Amino acid sequence: MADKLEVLPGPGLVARFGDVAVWAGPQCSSALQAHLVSEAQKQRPYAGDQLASSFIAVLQRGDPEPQAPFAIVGPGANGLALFLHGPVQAWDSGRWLAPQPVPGWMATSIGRPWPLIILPYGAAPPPQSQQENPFDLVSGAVPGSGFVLFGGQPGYGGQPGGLGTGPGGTAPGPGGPGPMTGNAGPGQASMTVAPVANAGATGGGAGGPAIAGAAGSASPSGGTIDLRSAFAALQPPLPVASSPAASITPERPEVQGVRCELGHFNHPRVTNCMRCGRPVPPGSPQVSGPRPAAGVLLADDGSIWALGRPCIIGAEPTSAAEVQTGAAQAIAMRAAQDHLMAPVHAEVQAKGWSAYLVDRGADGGTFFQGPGAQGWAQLGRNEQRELADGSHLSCGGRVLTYLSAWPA
Amino acid sequence: MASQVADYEITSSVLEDRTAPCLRARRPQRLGGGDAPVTIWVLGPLARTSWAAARARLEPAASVRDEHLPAWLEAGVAEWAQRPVVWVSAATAVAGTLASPPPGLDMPARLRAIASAARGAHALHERGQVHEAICPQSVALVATSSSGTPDGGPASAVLSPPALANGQAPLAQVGYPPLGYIDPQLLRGEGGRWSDIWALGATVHQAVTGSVPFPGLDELPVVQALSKLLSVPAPTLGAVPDAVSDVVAECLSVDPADRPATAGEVAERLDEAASKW
Repeated sequence: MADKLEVLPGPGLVARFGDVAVWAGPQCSSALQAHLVSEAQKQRPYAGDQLASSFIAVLQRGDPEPQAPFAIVGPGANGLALFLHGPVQAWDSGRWLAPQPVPGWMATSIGRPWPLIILPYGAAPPPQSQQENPFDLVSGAVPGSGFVLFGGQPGYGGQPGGLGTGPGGTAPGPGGPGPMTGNAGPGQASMTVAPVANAGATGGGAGGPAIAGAAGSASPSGGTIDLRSAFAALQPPLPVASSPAASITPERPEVQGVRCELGHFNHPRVTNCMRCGRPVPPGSPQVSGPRPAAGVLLADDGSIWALGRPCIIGAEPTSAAEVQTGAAQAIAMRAAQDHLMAPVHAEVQAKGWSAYLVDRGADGGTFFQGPGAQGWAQLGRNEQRELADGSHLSCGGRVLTYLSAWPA
Repeated sequence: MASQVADYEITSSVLEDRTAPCLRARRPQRLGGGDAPVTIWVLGPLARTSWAAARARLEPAASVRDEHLPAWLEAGVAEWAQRPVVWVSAATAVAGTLASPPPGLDMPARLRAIASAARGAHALHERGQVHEAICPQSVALVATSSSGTPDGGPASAVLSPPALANGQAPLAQVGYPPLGYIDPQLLRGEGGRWSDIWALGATVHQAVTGSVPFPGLDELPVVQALSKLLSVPAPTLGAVPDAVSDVVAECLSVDPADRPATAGEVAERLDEAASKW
């Protein structure tokens, strides 16, 4: 779709998954934001058309959040599909587009849009030369007040006219949208959309429930699955504990430790086996064995993560190559208010029997607080720090606590 | 309580648990099947997982059809208590859970209910899945009378939805299941069918003694509670029939190899213990 997606700083949420990009303003309910991100993740043909179609179907039954600004951009049958809802505007390199009246919604197709700018209605467009900005959202969801999509063609040839006058004098600048081709108020979508595959497939083919809006309202149709015919590939039965297959997976790194009389592998300083409780005499010979989990990470939202494989922390940690190869597990976290969480922000990895916090070079920084310490220390770019039992780490304003499973 | 989850009209609450509410609802007309009540579980805030991860967990679980598991209908995302949550609906009408059993449910019936849940867990295990959220809240008592409440006779039960904890989701959440039901081996990243067997033992412990094996764990600061779990404290059991205390002690063995080999074995032993209670 586009070569680059530049996130504009500010409140709201920008998400990009494959060829689909969405922006949700801060006025959107959390349910709507979650729905937009969820829908954007579904890779399907003509995703822009299909997303627009699904929203149109909902809006024609009533708009649960008329003041919620959001935009969806994705591939369509006739070029790039653009769906705008609420007080939002788009610059398609030649004109400003916005629902009429505002707030309302519109769906249209645009041919050669680069750069395509999505902004809150009335907001000033970003300064020129943003294409040189190195930040490019490749995949994931990050805070942002809008975005600019750059394509393969020469960009910014149609810079929004003088930040407010409109290109060629044919369209007003931000805050005064010009004429639009896909103009549609509620129930007047002029765009031809492709049939939505599986539309309303939930519940035996009837229409799915509406967008989640106010408390207790219906769920997003795209986020509902029919479990009555759920199918999953046959998995082999789980091993029983006494079988060799139940032993710790052999691909774990080897470390030096001691074994109890039953052969359970332990940290060299244990006095009792951590698996069976049997005593491990002092001076037991050290042997090499697969490393068990170093401990757990407890996140501030109450989630608990075993530190077996390295943990990648960020807003979109699945974009990390280590996660995609299965070498690491992803801890996806949203940034706290007024903080920035990079898609891949920090890493916690085990070396030997110890755990280490590693900064991954994110702009927001990675912070460390040892047990009993009063303040936070920021790690340098790509610096690593050993975590003692009870250490805290912070990135994106979120806090995790490391608990060792082994004696200090 | 909100009156709707998605387009399901909520009629009452089966379990008013803050972290894992279980609700009774009207069956939407679009689903067909008349007006038989359905059950909805609210599994947790979407912020703790992603819909894709939840879906990747729920679809394989729903593909396991077994009389000891709910008859799944749908799953989705909706706003609940002003936050987006993952929900699951089932055609099975649930009247209560072991977390707040009806007064008429005697001890043998409670043991049989856990045995049913154990068979549900066994069905999952045989399809390569771990439940990871077995606790009294997840032993759902099936309505056996027209009024929708258990009649106090032998309880039929099903095992509620699994934890949304695999793949890219955390292995556990503080609060649900309660910490006392989490196998320390699971915290060490060594979960398996033995983790559910531990949780079944803890559930029986609660059913017969009224307390979890490690009382007060959930009242401790989370960091301390997890540290305590990771140090593998030895569980204790009050005076109960040997048949029950033996199975509980074995399920709560520190070494997974010392626990009953399968949840199916746990079910058989609980049924036998119930018959001799």
